[in-house]
Amino acid sequence: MSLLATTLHLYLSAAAVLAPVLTAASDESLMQAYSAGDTRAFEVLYTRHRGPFWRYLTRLIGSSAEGEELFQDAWQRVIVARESYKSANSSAEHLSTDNTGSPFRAWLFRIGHNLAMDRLRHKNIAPESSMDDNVLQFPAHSEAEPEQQSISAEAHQRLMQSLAELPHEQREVVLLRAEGELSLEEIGALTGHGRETVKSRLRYALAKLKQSLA
Amino acid sequence: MDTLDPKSNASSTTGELGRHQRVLDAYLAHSGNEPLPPPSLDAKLLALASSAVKAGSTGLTETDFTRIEAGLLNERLSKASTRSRRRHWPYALAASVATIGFAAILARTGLLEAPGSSQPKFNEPSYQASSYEAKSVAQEQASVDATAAMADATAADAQAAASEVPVTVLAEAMPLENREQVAPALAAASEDKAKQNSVADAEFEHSDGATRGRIAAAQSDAPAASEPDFGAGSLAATAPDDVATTPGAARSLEKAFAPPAAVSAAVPAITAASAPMLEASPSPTAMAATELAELDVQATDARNRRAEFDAAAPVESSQAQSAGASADASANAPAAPPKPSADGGAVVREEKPAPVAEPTISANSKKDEFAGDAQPGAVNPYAKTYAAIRALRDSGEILQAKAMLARFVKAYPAVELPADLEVLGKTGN
Repeated sequence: MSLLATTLHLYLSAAAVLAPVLTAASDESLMQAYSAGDTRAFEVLYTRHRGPFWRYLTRLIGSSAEGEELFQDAWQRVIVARESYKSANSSAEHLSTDNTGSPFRAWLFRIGHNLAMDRLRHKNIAPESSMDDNVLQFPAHSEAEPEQQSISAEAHQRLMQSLAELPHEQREVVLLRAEGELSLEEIGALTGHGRETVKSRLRYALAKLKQSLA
Repeated sequence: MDTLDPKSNASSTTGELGRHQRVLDAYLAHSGNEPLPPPSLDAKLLALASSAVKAGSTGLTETDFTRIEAGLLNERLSKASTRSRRRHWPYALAASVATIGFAAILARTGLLEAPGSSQPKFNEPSYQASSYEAKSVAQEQASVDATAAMADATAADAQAAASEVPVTVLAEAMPLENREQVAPALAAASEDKAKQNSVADAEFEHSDGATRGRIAAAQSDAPAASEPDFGAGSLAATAPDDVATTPGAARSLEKAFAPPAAVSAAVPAITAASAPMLEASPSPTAMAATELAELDVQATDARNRRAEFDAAAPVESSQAQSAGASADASANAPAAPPKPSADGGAVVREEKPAPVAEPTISANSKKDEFAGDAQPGAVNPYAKTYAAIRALRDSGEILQAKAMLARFVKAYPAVELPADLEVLGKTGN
């Protein structure tokens, strides 16, 4: 598995180096290039969003296994809908009111949000108030000092635990804001709530996280 | 720019949202850019994206793309199964322990033999490799022989039944005086059967040992069939109690109790002797036809008598009036025709013997209903009945009126009805 990861990492790095134009391109142009048949554009797009999108899904659901399924389903939908992205692009652009955000990112996180809601509705369960070990686990950094790693791991675990204890709406707002880097308007349009509601939820959520990190 | 921009450090120090921005910064600092999806998932999704492009722009129904999707689905199912196993491992462990324990209990009680325990041991005296195999072959051959013997015995039994049953049935159905005619033939048949039994016993003793010996002893205890016995349990009485169940013994028993050839030879004689008797007895169909014809004659005769009586004397008998409907005999008796007295006074009636009964009981009962209605000496003796029927008709009870009229007509078919009642009977008005 590590060999595969190394190979993929080298491949993605080489692709990024060999295609600086693609790396600097916007999400929309990359998606359009992929729709035209350029698979390297999708690789750049995928590499750009896989981390935040993965963390958003796993921390929203609280389970790495179910988050992985949602992650896979979401990207499959992106692949399947590549032809119709042009029409979706125009409707997604209104999510980014200040034109600084990415319509593709908002679209991707909307797909993830809908899948997560479907999953929770299908299972007829409330979102997990705790996260499994794979989500709570703090990734080890070889270059960091062991003491620093221990402190970071402890803080990470407290942060994740506090995040898991948040109400689902507040947790999702925090994740969309922190991981998706979406604006309040984009979050409101995605979740179906007004900007002030989203802002209020975010305020409450961050206050609770601050207490846990204090 | 939103003040809660997580990537903006400039707004993190202003206001409440700025203070919260520090929380977001801390979140990002603690969570960092990890974790990331597993590399295997990255590879599969990239392969899926590439395959989708190769599949063309018309759709994603190409084989390779479908295969990759199926692979992803299988992997997900496998992971779900693994998770389920991990979640339920205590139950699986408990089930395994219970299974092993149950098997151990069975092994200790001897119900379940341990693997290899059924193999013969070298130190056992009964163990010989060649004889072991030969025994198996011999057992198999014996099984085949037994099956064939049973088939032969069944065929012989069927043949014996075909030849024996008519003799027994005919003999039992035969009157005693006719049995004497076939007694010599049956006696000869019994002797032949006794001889056949002795031959079968000899074969039986020769071919098998103890089992056949027991059966022979039981058969020797049975009474000799010196006289023909036509009872149903005659054969059962000679059967031994401890009949062996081996195929050879069964076959010998079938031979022993098979009908002798003389019995088969006596069948034509018995049939010839009983033929006149069978021909003399009428068939059930002919008997039924005869009885029906007799009944028809009686019914016709009764009807004729009734018609004659009704035509001669339409007045009911006074005795019938006094007797009422309770006495069937007097009710069944038709009214005697009135005879004028010599002095020209009151009408006296002559006692007549009861005529032949009506062919049906229902007619008598209907007649009883109107027995008290007749008015002796009146112009219309059934005026009361007619009035009752008219009253029903006029009150709207048409069906009841018609029913009463029908009963009356059935009881007195020769009586001529008034015109209005005729109309009622025909049209219902």
